Amino acid sequence: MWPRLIRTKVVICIGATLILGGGGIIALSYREYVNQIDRIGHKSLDEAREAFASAEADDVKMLKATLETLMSNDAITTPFARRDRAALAAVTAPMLAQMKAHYGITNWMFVEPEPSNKVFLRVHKPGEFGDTMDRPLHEEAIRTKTFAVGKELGKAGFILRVVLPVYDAQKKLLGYANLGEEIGGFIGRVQRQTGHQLAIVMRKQALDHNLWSATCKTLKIEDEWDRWPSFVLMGSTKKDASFAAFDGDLDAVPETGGVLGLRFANGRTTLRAIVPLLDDHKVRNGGIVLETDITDVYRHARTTAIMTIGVIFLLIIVMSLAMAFMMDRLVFRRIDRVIDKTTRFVGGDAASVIAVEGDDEVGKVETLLDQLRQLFVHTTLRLPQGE
Amino acid sequence: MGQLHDMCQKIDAHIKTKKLDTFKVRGQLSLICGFMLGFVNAKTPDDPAQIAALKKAGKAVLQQDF
Repeated sequence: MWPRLIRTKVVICIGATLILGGGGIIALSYREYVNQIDRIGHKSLDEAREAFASAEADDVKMLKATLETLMSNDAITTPFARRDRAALAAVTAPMLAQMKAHYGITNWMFVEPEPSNKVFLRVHKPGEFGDTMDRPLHEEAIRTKTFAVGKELGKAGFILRVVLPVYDAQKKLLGYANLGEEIGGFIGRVQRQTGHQLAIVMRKQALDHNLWSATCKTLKIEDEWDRWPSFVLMGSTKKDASFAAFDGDLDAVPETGGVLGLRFANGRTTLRAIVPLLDDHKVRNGGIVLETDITDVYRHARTTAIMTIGVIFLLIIVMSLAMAFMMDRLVFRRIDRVIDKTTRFVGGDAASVIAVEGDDEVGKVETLLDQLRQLFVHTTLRLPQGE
Repeated sequence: MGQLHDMCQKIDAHIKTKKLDTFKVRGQLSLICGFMLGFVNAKTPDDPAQIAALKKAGKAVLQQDF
């Protein structure tokens, strides 16, 4: 029910206006805080994405240069041209071991030219050959007859691969060679450059569980296949890789990456984000999860937000009280006094003068009523007695 | 004749007994009645409307039947 007294209505209206205004300021402050966190997240994403791209670009240059140099070596092209698998394996195996130790190159393949496209030799797995190479990168090299570069999703992870057509001295096409490097090594470099912690996660459905487990065994790393429902951890810059947990919809994440939100652990506040990784089929089968420590920023923002809210509430209370006090002093009490004096005058108290307490709106009413009182007294005195 | 005046005197006596603010109470009664009690004397003719109004005012202001 709406209150009767103006005093109550005014206090309610003042309070409501201040609360609405204060609420608006609080909402804006909170929005700014959320925007700030979001800005930090996107800045971290941009940094990590650029650093990763830079590391990838550096390694692409390295792989290209290495492959070109290797394919200009007759000791390699001659057994390939002769289709002498054993001889080729014998000369390339030690080279791959060196490249793996120094540069992280883990894959080296030779493929027969089209229309065959049969894998002639996997230097890293000499026992597996004869299958048809039908990956998009290989097809691109066939089409362009020059380097093809990209990330391929192997059975155990992402491989950065360069493919090059190989010719003999008479410019006859001998086939194709490719070098590959697992991209897990990039994240260490990105971490050193940006300070963010990173991890690579991959969709389980894109991997072969048995092959994955075998690879973990070979590399002597823990097989964490069952750690998360849909994704598996491929590598992390931090021993505690719990920050990399992702079970969302990777397809819904923007191509440039998405912020996953805040994480509170071990007294620190961190912001997580994920950048999708596309394979050679342009399918998002993995992602880079990054973690940025924003403890100081978060603490500062939170303190500011709490202080802002506190100050606003205090302001609302103080202003409400101040305005109620002023209304009481300047209006309502004076109205009460006018009513009292006028009533007393009507009751016969001729000395009941209405004091004019100010040159304001209420003062005009005070002035008018006192003038009426004086007029009444004057008129009454002029009336003959007994009437 | 004199009923109105009698009522006014009873009201004055009540105000005195209860030690109320004379001017304030008479003023409140006058404003409700529509005429000034101060102008009522023994010669004031009885007006049924004024008598009824004063009875009503007395009930409202002093919670008494006069």
